[in-house]
Amino acid sequence: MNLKGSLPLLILYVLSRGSSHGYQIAKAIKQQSEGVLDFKEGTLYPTLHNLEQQGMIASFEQEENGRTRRYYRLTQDGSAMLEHQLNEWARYTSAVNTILKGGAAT
Amino acid sequence: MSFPLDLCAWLRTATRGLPRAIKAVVYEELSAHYQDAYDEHHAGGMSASDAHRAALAQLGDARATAQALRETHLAQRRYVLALGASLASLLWVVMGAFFTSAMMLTIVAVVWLFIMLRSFRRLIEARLDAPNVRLPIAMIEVCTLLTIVLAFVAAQNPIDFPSVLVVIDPFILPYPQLWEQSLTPIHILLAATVGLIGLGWLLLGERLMGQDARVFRLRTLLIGAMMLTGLGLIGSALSLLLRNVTALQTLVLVVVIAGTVRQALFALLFFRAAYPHRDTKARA
Repeated sequence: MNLKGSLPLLILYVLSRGSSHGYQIAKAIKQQSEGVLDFKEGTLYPTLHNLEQQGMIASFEQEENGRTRRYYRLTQDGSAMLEHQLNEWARYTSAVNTILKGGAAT
Repeated sequence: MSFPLDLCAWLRTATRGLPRAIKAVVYEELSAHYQDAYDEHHAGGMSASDAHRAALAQLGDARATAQALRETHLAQRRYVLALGASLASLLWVVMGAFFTSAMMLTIVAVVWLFIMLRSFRRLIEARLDAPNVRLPIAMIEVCTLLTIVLAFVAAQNPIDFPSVLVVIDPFILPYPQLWEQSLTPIHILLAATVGLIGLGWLLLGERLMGQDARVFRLRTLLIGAMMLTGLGLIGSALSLLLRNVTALQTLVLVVVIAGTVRQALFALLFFRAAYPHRDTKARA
């Protein structure tokens, strides 16, 4: 399934549960969607960096098994954005569901 | 750490064109991602070569990654350039005093306009899902060039470029030669291209209506300024055809004010796009 538009929302959501590095984020999205949301993982990083430039997430380095890993965490602005996007998403899916179930009476 | 050759090639392709400091960070991040995937596949029972192939496949197309990374990391430069262009266009009066050649002033104004419009389009396309702003922007760009060519022809003076009043838009109507001449097909075409530039601004404003405020919180003001510029230019084109000097003078003023507001808002928009962190801190 094409994730282009919803990848930032999914990243923000995953990070709202705690700091993660890129591989953990990709794995969380794939696992929690039971494989439905599949994507090429290289494309995750431009989106992560874009969110970081916008101040929605922040990165920090951490040593792990002798390797330096770049972790990401949600910022305050990112939390506010996530809340806004979750509301928008709920409105959007509710509207689509209404139509698919026959539509509201006009 | 040593990597297989095809991984090195993948990483080189994916990080091509990035500034050196960013390239090093991205290289490290992507290679760590590969290593995690490889370790997991290998621990899951795959042979080393199968695990390597699977981990590499998971990363996807290196060229697509490179393009997206360049779009992200080189965008700031573009927005800084557009910010500079917007600020410079606000200083057109001062700049104009330094340019004795109207042709030079026109060329500079057109370069500013193109840098701003293209950066604006990229910003809109990157931040909003699917607003189709290519058509109105192409209209403004093409008609601007046509207007300048026609103004040149209309002035019938190939040596000295017409004393074009280049304001924010290449606004050519007020120059006196046009009023001394009778209305020719060239003048009608000129009015048409100016009108189409106005239509382009109107369309651009219309396309941005209904979009949410993710790109710009002052979008209502920006849309208003764009549409007022558009209406002013269309009105100016009509007043040229009708030879109505009073209407033209009023409309020139409208275009100048609306255009200046628009350029100031563009400058703010590009500042926010180029320095999102500073903007966030400033608001905090």
